[in-house]
Amino acid sequence: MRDVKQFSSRPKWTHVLAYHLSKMGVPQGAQPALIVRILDYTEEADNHSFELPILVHIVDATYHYLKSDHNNDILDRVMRQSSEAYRAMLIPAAQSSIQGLENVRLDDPTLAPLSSCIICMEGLLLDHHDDHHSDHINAVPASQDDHHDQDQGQGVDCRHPPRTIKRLPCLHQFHEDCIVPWLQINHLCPLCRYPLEVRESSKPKRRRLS
Amino acid sequence: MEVRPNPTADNSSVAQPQRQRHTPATTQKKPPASPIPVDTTSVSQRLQKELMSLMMSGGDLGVSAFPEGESIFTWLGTIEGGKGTMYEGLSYKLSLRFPLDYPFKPPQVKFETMCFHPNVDQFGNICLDILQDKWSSAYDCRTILLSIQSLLGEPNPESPLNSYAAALWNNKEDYRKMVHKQYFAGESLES
Repeated sequence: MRDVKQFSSRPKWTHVLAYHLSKMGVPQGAQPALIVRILDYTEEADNHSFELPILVHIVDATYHYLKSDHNNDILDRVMRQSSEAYRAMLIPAAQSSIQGLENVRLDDPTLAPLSSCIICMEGLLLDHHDDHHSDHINAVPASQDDHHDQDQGQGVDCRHPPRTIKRLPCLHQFHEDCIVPWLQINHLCPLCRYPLEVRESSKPKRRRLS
Repeated sequence: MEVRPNPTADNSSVAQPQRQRHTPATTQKKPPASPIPVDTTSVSQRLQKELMSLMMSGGDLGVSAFPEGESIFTWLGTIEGGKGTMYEGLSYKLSLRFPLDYPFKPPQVKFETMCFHPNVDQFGNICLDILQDKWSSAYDCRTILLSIQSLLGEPNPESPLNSYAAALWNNKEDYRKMVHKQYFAGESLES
């Protein structure tokens, strides 16, 4: 942070300083306070001198901590905190409304061979993690169960029973193992925001489904 | 946006091996849906699919993204300013950090290029509802980048992170000057 000479524009230098502080590993939360202090100081001093080389000593335990091996721990913690804050904003669906979701039969006429689950982006009718075999699997009859055991025994072609498909009241369809974790976070349909019933305590009154 | 399952081998070969060892006896007896499974295999598979669909279509729309370095969970995206907006002709870099339970939670998205905009702060943080409480697991990297691209041309003045930009928005000439000034100031820093 040497050679900071002109202060005609504060926002510009804020960016410069923020950039350097970031490079030094100073957490963003701590930057604004530092930047304001530096700018205040230099602006004040600028009244008296035309050029002003400054040296800023930052003594901060956090800095050393970030430089050490704990870097990832901190990042993880920040991620976790922000994800907790995220969950706090949302209302999960009631367990009863999740359990009450309609099962879609594999021969259901609304299931086009290529229709996919928007959450995992895999075909609704595809076997679990099996997309490299998609040519086998346009429609998976229930009688293939025997097959799966064989294949698994070989330990190469890892096939599971067809994934259960659930239909929301808005008629949007998802794999069960895709939609359930979503509804446990947020009670709205991912595609159309149709609201599923929520726990009584979460929200006052909501129309019962079925 | 129909995403077809991708039959090439790449998709699954990356993450496959680990799963298979556990499978035969254990998984079948367990109840199917445990709450919020952290299955990074399926997350990286979904991200691979997004990458594929983005590479196939994103360029036409002025958005692109690609994993940065080794991890599929960290991407670097690019947005071109929309035609007829103050940002036309400029191209902005963004970083995307996908959580391990993506797409149940949104990625963390930040501008890496300095961006003068009412809803972007000086550190590149973006105030956009679909990246917060309006997130849906039906969104993907492409829809995120397109949303941010349209946010550039249509700021939301109600929740400004940069109140100076918000105030200047109605003064098109000065606003455009600031956009360019910050853009090129940032560019010279990077080089």
